[in-house]
Amino acid sequence: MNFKFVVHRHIRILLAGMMLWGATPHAVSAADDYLSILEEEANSTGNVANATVTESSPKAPVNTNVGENEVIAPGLSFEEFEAVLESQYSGSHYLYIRLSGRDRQKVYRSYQDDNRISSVREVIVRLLSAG
Amino acid sequence: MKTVFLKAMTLGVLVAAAGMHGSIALALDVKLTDYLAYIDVKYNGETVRIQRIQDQENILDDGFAKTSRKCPPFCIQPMQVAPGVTTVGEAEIFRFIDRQLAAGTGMIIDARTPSWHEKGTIPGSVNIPFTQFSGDDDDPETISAMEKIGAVRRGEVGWIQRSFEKLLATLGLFDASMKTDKWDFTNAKDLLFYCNGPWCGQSPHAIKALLGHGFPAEKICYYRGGMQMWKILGLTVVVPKEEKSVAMK
Repeated sequence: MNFKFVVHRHIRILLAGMMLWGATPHAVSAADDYLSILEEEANSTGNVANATVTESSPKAPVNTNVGENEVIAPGLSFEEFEAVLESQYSGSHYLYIRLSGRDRQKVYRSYQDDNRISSVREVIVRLLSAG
Repeated sequence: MKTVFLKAMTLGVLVAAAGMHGSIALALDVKLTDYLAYIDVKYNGETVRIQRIQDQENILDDGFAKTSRKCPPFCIQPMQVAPGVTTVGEAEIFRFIDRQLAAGTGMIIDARTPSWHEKGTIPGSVNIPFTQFSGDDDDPETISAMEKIGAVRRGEVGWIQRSFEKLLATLGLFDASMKTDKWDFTNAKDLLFYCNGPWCGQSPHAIKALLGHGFPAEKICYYRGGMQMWKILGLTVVVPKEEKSVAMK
C-alpha cells in the first residue's frame, strides 16, 4: 500500500474525529438555544383566546389503554407490585430494575400513596436521574 | 298505524344517532364540515364538544395572530415531514377522533413544551413534549414516553435472535416491520402529532426522533396546521390546569 495514502487516510480520520469531538458541544448548545427561544416565544404569547378551562391537566384521553389515568391495583404486596410492573409495564420495569433496593422501596411506598402508573413512572425516572 | 309508528321510531333512532356527531345541525350556522356540525371527545373524564366559534365577526387577537417569527428557528415546515408519514388536516382529525381515539387505538399528541401546551390545546390530545423522544433507547424519559404510546421494551435481543427474525421476515414468516432490537411496536397506538403550526418544528422533531427509534412511519400522522390553523378556524381549545396527585386506595 502506498505510504502517502496510508498517512493521508489516517490524517483524514483524525480530522473527522476532531470535527465530531468539537461539534458535539455545539450540537448540545444549539438544542439548548432552541429550547430557550421556544420558551421565550411561549412567554411572549398570551393564553389562547376563547379557550375553555378544564379542571385538571389530562395526560391521556380516558378511552386509551396506555393512559396516564391507568392504575396499578391497590393494596399489592411489594413482590406483587414488582410482578405487575414486570408483566404489564415493561418499559417502566426496565428502568425500575436499575434502581437500588432502597430506591425500589421508595417507589413501592410512593405506589401505596398514589397508584396511578403515571405517578409511579415519574418517581422511577426521578430516582434514576438523581442516582 | 303500525307503519306510522315504525317510521317514527326509525326516524327517532336516526336523529339520535346523527345527533351524537352533530350531523343534523339544527342550530349551528358555522359547522365543521358540510355534514358535521360538531364532534364530542372525551377529555380528562369529561365530554368536550369540538365546534367552531359561531360569531362570524370574530377575529384572532392573541399570539396566534402574528404573521412572522424569526426563522430560524420558526421556519415554514414542508408538507412531507418524512417518508411514509401522512400529513393531515382538520377533517382527518375529526375522523381520527371518531375512529381511532374512540376505539382506544390512537392518540393525538401535542408535542409542544409544557409552557406552550398550558396556554391551550386541542381537546382529546396528550402532551408529550418532543424532547422526550429525543433520548437514546436507554434514556429514562424516552422509555417513559415510548411506553405512553404503547411501545413495549424488549429484553436483551442478541444478534443471533435478531438475525433469525430477519431471516424469518424474508420468508414471510415474521413481521419485522413492527420490531427493532429494543422495541416492539406491534400494539403501539396510531399517532397524530401537532404543534403550533406550519412555522413550528416541535412536532417534526418528535416525529423524526420517533422514526429514529424504529417506529413505523405508517402509524404516524402529522397535523401541519397545528394550533395556528385550529384557532383560525375557530375550533374549540381547552386550557388544562395543574393536575393534583390522587391517592386511590
